[in-house]
Amino acid sequence: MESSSNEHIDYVFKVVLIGDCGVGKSSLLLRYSDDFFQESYLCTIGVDLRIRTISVDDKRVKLQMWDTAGQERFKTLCGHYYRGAEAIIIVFDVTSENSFSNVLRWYEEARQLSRQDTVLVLLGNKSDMADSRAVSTERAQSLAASLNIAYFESSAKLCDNVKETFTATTRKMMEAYQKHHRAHLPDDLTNSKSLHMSQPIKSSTSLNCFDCSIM
Amino acid sequence: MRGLPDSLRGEMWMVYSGAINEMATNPGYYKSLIEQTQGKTTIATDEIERDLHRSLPEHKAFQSNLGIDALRRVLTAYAFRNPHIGYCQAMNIVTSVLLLFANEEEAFWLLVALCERMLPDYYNTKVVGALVDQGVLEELISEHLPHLHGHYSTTGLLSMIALSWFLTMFLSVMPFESAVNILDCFFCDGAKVIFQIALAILDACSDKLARCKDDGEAISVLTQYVDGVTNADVAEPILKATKSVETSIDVSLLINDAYLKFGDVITNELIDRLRLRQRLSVVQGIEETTMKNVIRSLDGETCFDIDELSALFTLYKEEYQASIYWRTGEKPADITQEYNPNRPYYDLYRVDFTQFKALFLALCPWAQGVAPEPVCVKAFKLLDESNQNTVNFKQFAWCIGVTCKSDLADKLLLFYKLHLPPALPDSEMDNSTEASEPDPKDADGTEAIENLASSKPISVSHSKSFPTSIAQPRSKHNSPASGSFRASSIEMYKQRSLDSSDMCRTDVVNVAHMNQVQFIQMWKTLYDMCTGSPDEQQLYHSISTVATLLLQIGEVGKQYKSGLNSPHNATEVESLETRKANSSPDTHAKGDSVHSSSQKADPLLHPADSQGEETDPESEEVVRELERCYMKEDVAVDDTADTLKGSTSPSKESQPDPNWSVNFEQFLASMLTEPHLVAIFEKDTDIIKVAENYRHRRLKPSNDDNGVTTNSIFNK
Repeated sequence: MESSSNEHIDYVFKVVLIGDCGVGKSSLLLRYSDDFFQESYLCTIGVDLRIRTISVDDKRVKLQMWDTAGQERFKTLCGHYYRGAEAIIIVFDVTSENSFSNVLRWYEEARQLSRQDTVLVLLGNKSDMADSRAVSTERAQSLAASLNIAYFESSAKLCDNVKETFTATTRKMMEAYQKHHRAHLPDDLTNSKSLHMSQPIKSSTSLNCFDCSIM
Repeated sequence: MRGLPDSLRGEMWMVYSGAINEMATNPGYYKSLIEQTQGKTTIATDEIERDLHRSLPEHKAFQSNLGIDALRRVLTAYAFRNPHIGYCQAMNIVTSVLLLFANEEEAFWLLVALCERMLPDYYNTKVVGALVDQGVLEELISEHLPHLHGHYSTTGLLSMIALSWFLTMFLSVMPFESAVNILDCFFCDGAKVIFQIALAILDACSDKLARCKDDGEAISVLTQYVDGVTNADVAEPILKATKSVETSIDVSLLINDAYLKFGDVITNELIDRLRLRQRLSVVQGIEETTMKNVIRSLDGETCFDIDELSALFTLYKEEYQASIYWRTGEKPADITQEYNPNRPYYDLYRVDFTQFKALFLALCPWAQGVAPEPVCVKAFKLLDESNQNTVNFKQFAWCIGVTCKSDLADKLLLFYKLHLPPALPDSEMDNSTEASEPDPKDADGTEAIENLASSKPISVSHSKSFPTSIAQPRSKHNSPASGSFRASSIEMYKQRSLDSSDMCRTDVVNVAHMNQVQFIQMWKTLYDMCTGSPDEQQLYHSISTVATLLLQIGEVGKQYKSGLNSPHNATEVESLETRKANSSPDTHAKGDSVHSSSQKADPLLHPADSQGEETDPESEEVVRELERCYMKEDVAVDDTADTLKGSTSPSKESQPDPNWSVNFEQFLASMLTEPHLVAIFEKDTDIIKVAENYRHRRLKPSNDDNGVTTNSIFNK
């Protein structure tokens, strides 16, 4: 992969993808991390993880991207993975009205279980399927606006706007981090592990173990 | 170690799992299920449809309709057979593998064996079984791999990762031809195999895992390792890996390792024992999460805060469970309902009337009088908006919330609404509600009157006959409050009701007028509520005063309506109102007449039929005295007396005056003139305390004290 064992890393961010079954969460991650697409992909059971290190604004950022099972009955299991996430991407399928109407439920779930400064993003996937489109860009945009979160549209299949979405999300996470970091400077060290994780890593020596086993 | 030969695999699985017996004893069962499910669409079938092409997509068999159709049929048939499970992701993956080695019917019976015997509750709506096994694994790790446990115990990460191993028996994480060998062992040796393998994997990775700095790395380590479990016996992998993976271990070695290291110590008996132990805490955890969700879903919908809602919900849930458990006859309507993930949390548990009654009588401050059942019936009817004969927690909590701690106007509004349709349906107006009351209640009523007449401290005998009312905290300061304080608070409420909040306004406007029969019902309820209260006498007096006032208002309104005497009647109402309000302090002063006139409400509100119960001389005397006093007052309030009498006589009750009516604002304003009634409604109830008391009583059904309550909880 892009990251080598003694590379300098500025941030490590945890990104969680949530949304209904079959909206393409795994496909998006597979496309983003391995640049690969499969028409049918084994449904995710429990959680799955993909890692990619990218450069944004001259900073090296390692993204830990968590893929979660979409079926309702697994929701409670994944709950504790929202905690400590710097960003949560709520994915829906633009060809499925149902997956769009469930966005609110996912949003509430995410809000409840995440931190105040967690970046939330709405992502409409399968934008390539224009013929069977059920949710217009305008509707999705207005929903996102009403929730005060960003909206993106992508196609994992055509590799359209996937990278851009993740880059934009990363930028937001960096902003949120810096804001939060400034605001909470005094008690930063006593803060949770997740915050600790996202602190800029100064020494590259500690990175040996950090990157030990990825791909 | 080598795995079963492909040709015999299906048959051996059937034998090992016992599925072969079930299939033989149920010939034609699978076929009939298929026929029954044909063309039906449910939530489960939708979910199945979505996952058909995501089950074993790389395998040729599931790239054509032949395989997909078979998979659909087996999963649909199972969902139909067992609605408690329906369809759970992971079942699709397991079933596709079963279909590769067995025919459709065999695969179905293998799935039955897996879901119902070998992996109990794994796939139910809360994946309880899988959670239980996560806990079991956690325990086994702490015992056998203590160094790993120390590293990861706080996060529960290892068992989280292992969830997919368990749910799909490694089929979703390991190369197919390797996982199938493990499946062989599983069918042959039982559930312990998955634990043995899981521990062997963790053990093999323990050095790397110990060096990991975060969850992500740990997952990567394990994913890679499991991905690299290969099967040397299979020359050409059946499924091509999407990316090149380094081989970590051969599956036969892994199985060998697992059996060697953990074969003796981890037995099926041990697993059963650990599962039993874990189950309680898992179920408890699920309950807590559910409660949190339910309470969250009610945010801002009721008068209660989070703690109060928790207390209320705990009781509600207990009642719900207990009645399911104890009831032998008809089951509550709710239990058979199909699992629907889109149901709002607060709607998860619906109680029927019997369940509702037990809770309502115990918790609602308005149900603490002598005859609480009618209020309960009315409340249930009002809340059961969808006419399903069930009420959900939101509706229940809202109702109890209003009665416990909303402000006076809202409480009175609910009280008023309880006596309008749909709470008070037309049919009930004809039949007197007394008829539906069980006998013991009447006996209690008599007793209460006895106590009252002999002016003993009421609380003693009261608690004896009405255990439900213990639940209500009776704060002392509520009895005789200082006049000036009361007066000022009433002024405040008057002010409030005049320029009150918008919400209240709109509500008030929409509330229907109340006719005479409804009004009498309402007064009956009010009277029953006050009976047994420490300042009962005072309350009776207030009740009758307000009744008179309202009857007059209604009468005037009637004349106004029928056009006999239009404009100047409105002013008459006002003058009557002020006259009444002025006169009430006077009556307070007269000790004797307070006692008697307060009882006047009795003949008014208990027409004819209740007389039989009150044959003891003391109370009869009281009644007679009342009547005398009542007549005296009649002169003063002249034409109202006719109305009053009219409502008392049973013959007239069946033919109510159709033109008479009062509205909510008139009701509210009139109630505010009587500080004692205001106090009754103004008093807030601490639901947490009430709930605690109720539970306490329920847990100790020691003596006769609890006869009534226990009966209503544990429904015969």
